[in-house]
Formats: sequence, structure tokens, C-alpha cells
Amino acid sequence: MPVTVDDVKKVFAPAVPAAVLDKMDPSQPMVGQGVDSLALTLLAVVVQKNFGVAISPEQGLQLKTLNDVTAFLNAAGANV
Amino acid sequence: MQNFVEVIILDRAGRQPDKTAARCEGRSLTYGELDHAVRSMGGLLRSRGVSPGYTVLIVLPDSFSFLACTLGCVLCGGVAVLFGNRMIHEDYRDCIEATRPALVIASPGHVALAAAQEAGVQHLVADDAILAGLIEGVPHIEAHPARRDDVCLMLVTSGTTGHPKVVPHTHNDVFAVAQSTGDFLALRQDDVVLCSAKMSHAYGLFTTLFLTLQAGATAVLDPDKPDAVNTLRFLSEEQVTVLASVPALYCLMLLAKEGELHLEHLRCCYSSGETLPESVHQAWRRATGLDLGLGYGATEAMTFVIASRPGESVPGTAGRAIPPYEAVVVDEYFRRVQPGTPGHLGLRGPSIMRGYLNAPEWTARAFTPDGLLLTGDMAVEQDGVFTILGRMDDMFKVGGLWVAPARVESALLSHEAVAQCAVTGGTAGALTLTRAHVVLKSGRTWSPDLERALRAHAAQHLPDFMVPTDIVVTPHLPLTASGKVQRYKLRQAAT
Repeated sequence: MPVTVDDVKKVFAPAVPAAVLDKMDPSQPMVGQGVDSLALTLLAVVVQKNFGVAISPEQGLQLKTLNDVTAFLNAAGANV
Repeated sequence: MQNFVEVIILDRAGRQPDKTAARCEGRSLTYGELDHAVRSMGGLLRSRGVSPGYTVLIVLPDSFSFLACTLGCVLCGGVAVLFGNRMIHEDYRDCIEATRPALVIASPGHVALAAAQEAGVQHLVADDAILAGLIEGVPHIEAHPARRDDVCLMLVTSGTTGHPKVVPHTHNDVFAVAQSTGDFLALRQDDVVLCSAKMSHAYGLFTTLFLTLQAGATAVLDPDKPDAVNTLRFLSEEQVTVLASVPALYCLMLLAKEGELHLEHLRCCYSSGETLPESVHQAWRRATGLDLGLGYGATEAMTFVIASRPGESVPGTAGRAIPPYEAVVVDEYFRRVQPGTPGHLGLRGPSIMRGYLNAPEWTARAFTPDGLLLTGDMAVEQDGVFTILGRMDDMFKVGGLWVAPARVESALLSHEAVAQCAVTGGTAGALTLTRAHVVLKSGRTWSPDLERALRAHAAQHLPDFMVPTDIVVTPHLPLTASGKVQRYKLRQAAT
């Protein structure tokens, strides 16, 4: 099944307060919406653990929005 | 006159009283106002019992108050102990015990004030909102006639056990940095300088306080935790021309905006604090058209010792030693190795500390018999260009700040579910992180709830940047025959 933005949001729950997560616009950069570096590294870690997909430094710099992360995971053939 | 505050800062202030020395949260401080604040605060501190040689612990955000208190302290002959304001109560308690200050200065409601009270040390609450009121009517003082080798500043750096090591620096050290790093960075009077590192860290101290004010330029001060979105806003609103930042923040600024970053006023940017990933360097160049200069230094030297200017760096390398500093790669007998051979990086130069405060064992271990400061980093040199290879010990940095594995381990071990723990640095994408490898006590099972509980427990005992972002549960840890954890094996397994 394809990964959705909501699947990614669910996985982010330990890293980002629910209030912030609910308001996040998936098409806008995460960093401008209350996600700091500690949250961002935690996101990368849980994405790698939960979806089994490693993120290289170059790829990491392209994953700016929730839509980017979702598209990246689907392209990598990740499973929910 | 050998008091750096008079010679470097106030002399400049006298020549251009109406120029903006600093900007903070939309407010301006001219050089003339800085002069007034420093001389009056010096008088206030003297009247509060700060005699020559006495230490004052200053725990303040980057602000006009920070400048007034730090420079005022040194002006009146005191020793300014600078410690970050994002630490926890026990850190301030330890720092007070180590430096025995006559006075603790902190923001309203800051935990350092409670630590001062507990230790029976008098305190002063300072804040930009009340600064004018604090110094009103206090007569200006003249500079205390310091000698070049009088200690005037102390910085705090993390030791391998997590306990702080205090690094004393003299007026002479400041003059040396002002000259050598000043020549290297070549700031101009019309520069507007923003450094992401706070002035309580060597990087922020020399960039913002020594070099920007020495050049008669304008310093942008951000009292808050370094933040990518705020930094981008300052770059455009304050028309910043020189940015000194850390890899994590360059990475986050790149993630904060789609497409190119139009930073029209920026002429020069530097990265220091930890290794700059090549991916971040290239992405920044593509997004801004600007190359990053690099700096490598140590709190023990209070400045960059190895550096390269924008456009001069070779990928993967840190640069060349800045004259008159010397960088040497040595073997286990402290003999210089052949070029191209990895070894332990040592430094020599005019601003290097004489030793840690009241820590003869740490000091003895930090220097070779002939006085070379050992950095704890492995490096290799070829044709005068140095490449930093990694640590000799298990220390690592997250967002440019030191993390001592032992300290994080100790915090996690105090949780009742944890039997053993080993902490390493790691990476996720282009960012560095703290990773805890945990063996649970028998009968305990791993769950999202337990993960949350462990992180919350860690957050209560550690400054925020030391809380592990990745917790890996494992049935056992790799140990030596004598039972010591082999953290390097955990690092290797993670890559």
C-alpha cells in the first residue's frame, strides 16, 4: 500500500507535539513549522526504523516538506 | 594599558560613538552607549564586591546585558566566567563550586540564580529591559590596570566524564586572538556580523565580541536558541554581511526554503564547531552562490587555529594553520609523524591556555612534555593542509556542542528499566545526533511508551541537546575483557 502523508505524520508523533503536527501544511518546509534540528534528526531516525529506508546526506537535504518525505518513501518502495 | 576592554573595545568606542555596535531584537546599541554601559556596569560590579581577580559567573543570553556585564567585569579587574544559559541546575552548581564566584549574574527566573542562592553566593539579575535602570547613576570607572598575563576570562568546556573543565584565558590571549584571527577574518567597519554560536562559547566570543567590536562593525545578537528560520530572517532584516555558523544550522537553513536562498547582503560565511558534510557545503554553494570558509579551533585556544577562507578549501580538509599558530600531528610518543600519516593533532600558539582551572591531572594529560596542546582529535597533514579524521576518545558533537557519552549514559542508567547503556554519536541524513544503545533489565519489554519515558527521563537530567534522539535496544553491548564498553564497535555497526 502506498505511504500517505498521514502515515508519515503518525510516525512523527514522538518527535513533534500533536498541536504542531495537526497544523502542519504538508506542502511547506517542515523547518518553518515548528520542527527544530532535534526533531528533524528524530524524524530521520524513525523514518529509517519504521519504513526500513536509509536516508543519505544528499537525500536528506532534499526532504523539506512532508510531501517530499512521502514521495521519497513511495519511490523507495517502502511499506506501511 | 593592557586591559583588553580598554585597548580593543573602548578605544574603538571613543572614535565612533554614534556607530551601531550591536543590534538585538530590533533594538540598537551605539558604541557610545556601549562605552557608557560597560564603564557603569564595571562600577556597579566593583560596588557589589568584585575586586581585582575575583570571578563573576555570567549566565546570560546574547544581549546588550551580556556585553555590559562581561566587559564591565573585565574592566573593573574581575574575571568573567562565561557559561551557556541552556544548561541544567546541577551544571550551574558544579560551575559555582569550581570557580567560586563573588557574584552570579543571570536573567530573571533563570535556574542559575537558584543555584547561586543554594551555594550562598550573591546574585545580580540582569536583562536588557532593566539594564538602564541597573546602571543609572553609577559613576563610570577607569580600566583596572591589568597585566597582560592576568586571567580575565574563563570558558567552560565539556570533559570526557561530562564534568566541565574550566579554561582560563588572559588579556594576552585576547590580544593574540584579536591580532591573528582578526587578520585572517579581516572584518570591515561596515560589516554586519551574525554568529550562531553564543558569546559564552569561544566561537561566538571571538567572532562577535572580540573581532566585530575591534573592527568597529555591527554585531547582531540573538538571545534565543539558534534557529534556522530566525537566522534567515536576521540575514535579510539586519542585512548581515558576515555569517559564522555551524553545519547543523546551514543544513536546516537549506531545508527551510525551497529553491535558492537570496542573501544579497551576505559577502562571506564560515562554518565551524564540527565537521562540515560535503553534501551540505555543495548544497549551500548551489543555493546561495557562496562558498563556505572553514574554521577548526578549541576552547583551550579560544579561536580558530586551522582554517580556510571561502573559495580556498579543499573538500574534506579543514585548511592550514593560521600564523603564528602551529598545528602538528604526532604519534603515541608525541613525535611529529611523516606527512600523510594519521596521528594525534596538537596545537601551539599565543592564545593557548596554560592549564585547566584547579585540574592538574586533566592539564597534565592535555599537554605533551614540551608544551604541545593535544586536541583529542586524529588528523593527517599533507603540504600544510590538515584533514580532521575523528576523535581519539568517544566524545562527539551535536549541532556544534560537545556531548560526553559518560554523562548521557549515567542519566539513562538511572532509569529503572535500563541495565546497561552506551552512547555514541551518529548521523541521520546530513545531521548529527546522539544515539543510545540500551540493554533492558530482564522482564522489561521495549515499547513506544517506554521509549517516550526514557527520553523524558533523559530530558530531566540532561541539557536538551544531549537527550538521545535514537534509542537502540540491544541484547548485549560489546565489551573488552575487563568489561569496558567498546563504543567504537557500536559506531562501526551503525554505519
